Formats: sequence, structure tokens, C-alpha cells
Amino acid sequence: MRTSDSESVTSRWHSTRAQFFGIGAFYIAVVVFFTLTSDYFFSYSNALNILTNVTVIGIVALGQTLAIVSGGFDLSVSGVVPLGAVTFVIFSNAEMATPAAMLLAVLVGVAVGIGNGLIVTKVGINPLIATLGTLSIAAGLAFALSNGVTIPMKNIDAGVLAERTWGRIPYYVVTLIGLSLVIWFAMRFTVIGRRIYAIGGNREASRLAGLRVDEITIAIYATCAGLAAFAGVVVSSQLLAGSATVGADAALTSIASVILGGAALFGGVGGVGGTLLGVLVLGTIANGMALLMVPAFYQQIATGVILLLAVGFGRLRAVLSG
Amino acid sequence: MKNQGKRHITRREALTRLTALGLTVPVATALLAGGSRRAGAADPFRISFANVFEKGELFVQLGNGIESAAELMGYELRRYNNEFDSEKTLANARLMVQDRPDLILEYNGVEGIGQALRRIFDDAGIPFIAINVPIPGGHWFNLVNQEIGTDTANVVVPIAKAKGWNGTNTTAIIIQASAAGVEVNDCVRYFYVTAAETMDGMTKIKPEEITATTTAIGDTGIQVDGAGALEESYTAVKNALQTLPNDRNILLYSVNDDSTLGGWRAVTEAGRQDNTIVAGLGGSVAALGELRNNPQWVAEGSVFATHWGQYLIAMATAVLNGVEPPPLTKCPQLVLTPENVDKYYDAEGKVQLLPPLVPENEYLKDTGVLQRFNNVEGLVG
Repeated sequence: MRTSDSESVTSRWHSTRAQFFGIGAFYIAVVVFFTLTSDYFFSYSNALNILTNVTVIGIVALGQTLAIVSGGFDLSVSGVVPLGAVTFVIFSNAEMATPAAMLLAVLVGVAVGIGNGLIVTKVGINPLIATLGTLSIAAGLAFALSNGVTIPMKNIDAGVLAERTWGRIPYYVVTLIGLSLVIWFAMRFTVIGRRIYAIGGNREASRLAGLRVDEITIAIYATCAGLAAFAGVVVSSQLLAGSATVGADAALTSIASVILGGAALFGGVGGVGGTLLGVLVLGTIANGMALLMVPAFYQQIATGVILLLAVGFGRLRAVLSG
Repeated sequence: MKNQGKRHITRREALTRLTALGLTVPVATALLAGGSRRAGAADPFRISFANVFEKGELFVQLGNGIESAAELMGYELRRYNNEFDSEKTLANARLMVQDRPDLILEYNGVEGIGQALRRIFDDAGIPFIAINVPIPGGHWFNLVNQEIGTDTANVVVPIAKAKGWNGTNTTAIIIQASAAGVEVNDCVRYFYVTAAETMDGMTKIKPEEITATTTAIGDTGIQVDGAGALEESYTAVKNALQTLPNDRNILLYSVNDDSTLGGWRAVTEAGRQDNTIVAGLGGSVAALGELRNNPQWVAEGSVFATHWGQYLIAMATAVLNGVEPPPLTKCPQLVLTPENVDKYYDAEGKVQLLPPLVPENEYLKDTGVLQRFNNVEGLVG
């Protein structure tokens, strides 16, 4: 039994690696294509532009990776991002110290995540329905708190995360890299990371093995929503304003990135590296098409087609490589 | 056979009489009720109003404005929420006609269902006023995006020309909201067309040639899609800036203030604010703050949406008194500049004066409604 589980984990690991390298090769192809077709693509300035464009989704996708690897997913991030953005600006405009305003905004997200976790584990409602409900509640709260209008940041120093550091790289990009390293390390080398994979691989077996499945699941949803709220703080720092309309596509784009990066929707497979690659692929394609002046309607269509092709080829490659 | 035939006729007669009675009583009641309301001078008009949405400050304030204007006039108003949804809008339309109001104010956000709404209102014989989105056969109240785009360009271009800007060193970035349709995007199309006509060296183009899928307009225009939202506009302009050399001057304009603020943030983040001139549309508190304090923000179109209520109630009064309004009754609209903003808005962004009536809207004056608000330039007592 143990050997069989071990083989299964090994097989999934190989599958993830195959998908990762497949998407990596695809990303290189994307970069080469846009370099050849656009005069403006291959430059340091545009590389920085792509990084700054993908940071918000990158942070959300880190949390989404945890949720998906554990066998669930979180749609509520599309409501939590604007809620985090609006609450951060409201706290900041109330002359609260910036770190405290950030912390409180993140805690608001964590509270939503704990709610998600409790509904999924204790009430037994499917994550799709549970997080769809909290998406609506969180988004509605963001609208209610902001009266549906954009709230400018009174103290622009509160947007400190958008300040630039070495190489004109904004602090929020550095933060994304830092968060990625922490979560990568936790998932790869810690007991809790192993347990997340185990729960995603077989929830019932994990429970029977004595893992505190419910508590871990609640912690995962809390982390995911906390990261989404932090992504909201980052958006507000970028825009120097809080708006209930930001982050509307966060759920779908983050899930797409995680899946593109090699995770499986049924759980137990996936990782931070693949997710970041997925985020980069989507962000780079969007940027390249914008530079090529592709109309927005066609950008949407092209992104969908490329997403399906990339995942399809990745899966095919994984199957062929056994 | 004869008896059976006689019984059959009796049943038919009974059915016919019952049917006639069923039809006659409500019709007679309605006629009597309508007649008595018209006859009694003291009886208030009954108006039903379906708001496009009851979320968002702008829509809520618009609805509240209509409600308070109706209250001031002593009219009875019932309010519905279309929730930006076509089925809900049609359901509300059916509910409204059941209530037999004297007039319906319909703010429908889904252009394609206009014919269905018209059928419901026409079948009930109730006059209606379409707000913002036209409904065939109805009276129409709206801003004129074409005019506001043109007027804004006429403010912006002289400032740009005074700085020596022209088509050789300047690009206009217009931020559309493609999903909002042609009418809404007229403001940015006509902004570009007017700027191109009046600035040397700009690529000239007909308005109809700028469509939702247009991205580049020669070497002097870029159209991006900001979806009318802050974050999307920020990202779209950020990408567009990659294609423009740093020393290129920029005219920035969009369909609403959120979009303009997002685009402006991308410009400032790129450190290009000193060679950018920006104009907004909407009269939001944030944009008015920019107009007052930011030397690069030179114009702000306002349609005074929070005060549409008093114009709509004046228009409804005119229609109910038998006046035939023009095909489009224009909302109050004006391009604000740093020089005139204080006349119309106070420091907190509250409207203190509305622009004078345009000649086509003079009929509203005759209702006496606007005078009761004492806030329209030229009608202040």
C-alpha cells in the first residue's frame, strides 16, 4: 500500500515536471515569437513591464496553488482582492500607519478564508459553491465600503510597495519573489507541505493516517485569501487608489495559471515554479499582443486558444513520457 | 335537439356576458380612475422608475435625485432595480405596467431589448422616457458623448499647440470601453477626430473608421481598451507607453474618470507626466481634485449625473402635459477647466450650479420644475 502510494506520488511528480518543462519550452517559443514580431518587446523596460503586470495575479496564484494542490480551489479571490484593496485604502486614509493598514487588510482576507475553510470542512459544502458564495459577499462588501466609487489614497506614501528599488524594480515584485520562495520552500521541504500534497492526493487516506485534514484545509483557505487580500494591497499601491472593480478576473486567471503550470484540478500535483511560469506565460502573451496592437476582443480569443493548446500539449507530452 | 340547442345558446350567452363583464369592469374602472385623476387638479402624477442598477454611488445618487425631485413636486414615485440584467428589466417593465402609472422612466442597460420594452409599454398605452440607452418609440434623455468629446478636444488642443505640440511629436492615447458600445465610445472617437483636425501633422480619420477593434491610428493615435475600469486602463496604457519614445508628447483621454485615473497613473509611474496632457470625463471627486491641483489635467467633462433627477421630472411633467419633446433631451453637460470649476462644484466635489439650458431644452423651463431647485444657471431666482 505504502509502495503503491509512493509510486503514485512519484508518477505525479514526473508528470508535473514534464508539464513544467513543456510549458517552459512553450514560454521560450512565446518570447522568441514576440521578439521577432515586435520592435518593443525584447527590452529591459518591457521585461519590467511584464513583471509588474503579472505581480498581482502572481500573488493570488501562489495561494491558489495551495488550494488546488490540496484538492480544492478558491473562487472567492475575485472578491477578496477588491476587498483588500478598498479596506487598505480606507484604513490608510484614516491615518493608520501603513504596515498596520496592510496587516488589517490582510486579516480581513484571512477572515474570509477561515470562513471558506469552515464552510468546506465543517458544513461540507463543495469548494465551488462555498467560495462562489463568499466571492459574492466579499465583492459586495467592497462595493458597499467604497460606495462603488474609486477612493484616492490621501497619503501616497502608503503606496510604498510601488516604490522602486535597485534596477527600477518595484518592491511589490521583490515581495512576490520573496513570497514565492517561502511557499516553494514550505511545500517542498516542510512537513506541512508534504501534508498538503497528501491531502490533495487522497483526502480520506490522509484522515485515516491521522492528519488533521480539516485544520490544514482551513489554514490553506486562510492563507489563500490572505494572499489575495495582500494582492489587493499591491493593486492599491500601484494605482494609489482603492476600487471595488479591481481583481475581477483574479479567480479565473489564477486557476488558469496554476493549471497551465502543471497542477491537476483533482489535487496532489503542482508547485510554485510551474504556477509562476503559468503566470508569466499568460502575462507575456497579453503584453506581446498589446505591443502588436491586437484588438482586445482577439486578445481574449487568442489567450484562450493558447491556454488550451499549451495545456493540451503538456498533457500529451506527459502521457507520451509515461 | 331544440331544447339542447336552447341550452347551448344560453351557456354561450352566459359565457359571453361573463367575458364582457370581466373585460368591461377593469377597463371602466381604469378609465374612471384615470379620468378622475386627470380631472382632479390636486391629484399627483404617478411615475414608475426602473434604475439600471442600485449599486455604485452614481446610480444610487441618480435614483435618489429622481426620488427627491418627484417628492418635491408632490408626485408619487415607485422605484425598481433592473440589476443590469435583461430578464430582470423585462420583468420590471411588466410589473410597472400592471401598476398603471401615468409615465415610466426606464433606465435600461441592455440595448438589445429595446424593442421588447417598447412592446410592453405600447401595449399598455403608457408613455415612457428612456434614460441613457434609447428605446425605439420613446422619448430619450441622454448625454451626447460626441459633443463632450469634441468640446474636450477644443479645450485640450489649444493648450497643446501653445506648447509647440503637433503630429510630429505628439500621440493621442484614447482609452475606450469596447463592450459599452458605439454611443459611449463616441467621446473618445470624436476627441481624436477633432484633435487631428485642429493639430498639424496628426493622422486624419473619419469617426466611423475608429471602431472597437481599432488600435493604431497612423503614427499619431493609439486606442486601447480599458474596459471603463481603473486597473484595466492602467495596464493597457502601461503597455501602450512601451511603444512610444520617452520624448513623445501624449494627449490622454478616456470614456470615464476611472479609466483616465488608471491611465494617468501609468503615465506618472513611467515618469512621463511632464509631457502629457490629460482630460477626464465624469466629474468624480477624484478627477475634480486632479483638475484643481494637477497642472497637466486641463479639462474635465461633467454630465452632472447626480442631478439628472430634476431634469427627468421636468421632462416627465412636460410629456404628461402634452408637450412633444425633441428626439433627444440633452442632460446638462459641460467641459470644466481649472478656471470655471469652482463656479459649478464646491471644494468637496458637490454640485453648486448647473449649466444653462441649451436651446432645445427650453421647453423644460415652461414646466416650472427646474426653477423650484434654484440651481440652474439662468434660472436662479
